[in-house]
Amino acid sequence: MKFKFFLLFLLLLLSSFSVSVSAEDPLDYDTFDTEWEIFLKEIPSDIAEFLPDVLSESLTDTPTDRVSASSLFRYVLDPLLAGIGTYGKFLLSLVSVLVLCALFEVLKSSLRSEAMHGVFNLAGNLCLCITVCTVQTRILDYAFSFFSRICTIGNAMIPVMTTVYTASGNITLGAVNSGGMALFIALIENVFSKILAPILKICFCFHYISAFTTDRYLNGVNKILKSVYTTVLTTTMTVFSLAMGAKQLLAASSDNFIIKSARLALGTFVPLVTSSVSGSLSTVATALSLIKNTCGIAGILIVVIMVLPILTSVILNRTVLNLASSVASLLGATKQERILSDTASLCGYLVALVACAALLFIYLLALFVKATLALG
Amino acid sequence: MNIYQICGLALCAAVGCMLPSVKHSEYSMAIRICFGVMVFSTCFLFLSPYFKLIENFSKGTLMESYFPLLTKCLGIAFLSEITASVCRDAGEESIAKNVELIGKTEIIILSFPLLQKLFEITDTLLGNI
Repeated sequence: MKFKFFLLFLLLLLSSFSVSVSAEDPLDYDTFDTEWEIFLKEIPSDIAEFLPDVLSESLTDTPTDRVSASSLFRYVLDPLLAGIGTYGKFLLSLVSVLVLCALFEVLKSSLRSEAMHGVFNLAGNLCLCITVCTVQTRILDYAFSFFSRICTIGNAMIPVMTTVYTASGNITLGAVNSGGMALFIALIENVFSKILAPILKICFCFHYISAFTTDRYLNGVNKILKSVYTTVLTTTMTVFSLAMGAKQLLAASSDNFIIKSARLALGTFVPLVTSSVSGSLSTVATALSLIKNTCGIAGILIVVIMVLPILTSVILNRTVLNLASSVASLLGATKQERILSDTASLCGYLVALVACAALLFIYLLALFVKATLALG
Repeated sequence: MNIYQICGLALCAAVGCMLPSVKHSEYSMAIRICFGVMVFSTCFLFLSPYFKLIENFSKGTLMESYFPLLTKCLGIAFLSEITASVCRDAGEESIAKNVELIGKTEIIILSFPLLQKLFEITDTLLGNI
């Protein structure tokens, strides 16, 4: 009975997202070249400069492993080292404010005036908040630009995929795939940019306001917003992973040691959506192996160049905030410790969002690569 | 001046204040004020190399522009606090309160650009929702 209800609910849900599908005349290869050029134009210049040879190859060429494993390491290490330098400076600036605040805290007992202490704490907290807030604003902008970039690339993939399917004779499959993919990208773009991003920004603003007040009401509002955020993000990712599984485009591979290790690492670094992200890890592994088998190392390189800098940034940012919070705790600056630990917990939400966006990109790329196999 | 000299001076000042000829005269207050000022300046002399160290520490970071402001706030807080306590020792409670009030106002005025900056950042963050 429950299963019937579930089936009915699923049908209703699917009907609400239905798209009109119609057959088209097969396109010639000139149109395909145009679509391919449009797709290449949509690839961000900073990624395109890393892949000149790959992009100049035509699709009919056999995939080559021109990018060596050593260069892959370079692309992994470069953003990591750059991130460590930037966030090392961020940590230094936080520690210098904390030392001054702690100095005043230590001498507080010998001073009689509580009010003077309060006023100095205000100045110290303001400095700390501005330092943290400036970096967080940059990170948020970076994360959202990463997401809009993924959506742009995804949208640019659709015409190429349709043309490839059409050229190989699978006209219906091409139409259904392009419609479905366009719908998914539009849906996820709307959920991310119109629900999750504003909620996260409002949470950050409430958090900075609550650093200067003792109002419990703000904390309550923040908790509600966080729970809405978690629910929306988890549901979106679950639906997306389910859709991938239902289409059987990316069949899950066996649960090997690497998957288990990655699941453990995800549990440490990605909060909130750990279950939905780690649950789809085997699908991600299959997607990555499909990309590697079709495009060679260059395909993995595209994923690494796109995903790694932003992931490194958000994870390092969160680690620095946690470290600074520990330093504040050691120095006895309780108020500052609360500000830092709350910001670190909010950054956890951003890490979850970026991890989901990265998964989305890997899935999209795998679907795109899968479409090119239709030609063979 | 090191801690031994300061302690020696403190004992001398305490004994000097207790001398029968000084105890109830205006010299007693003068000794207290002189000693207070001396301790305050020594305290800052002790701390200044460490402030330099923290300043170097924060160079090239986001705190570079805010560090002078924060140290200025710290200086104002200490100066007004010590002046107020000297005034209290002299029995001038109202002057002490005024000094504290001026100190707090000065710190708040110095904090206003920071507050403005925070509002600007928040506005940028919420601006494109």
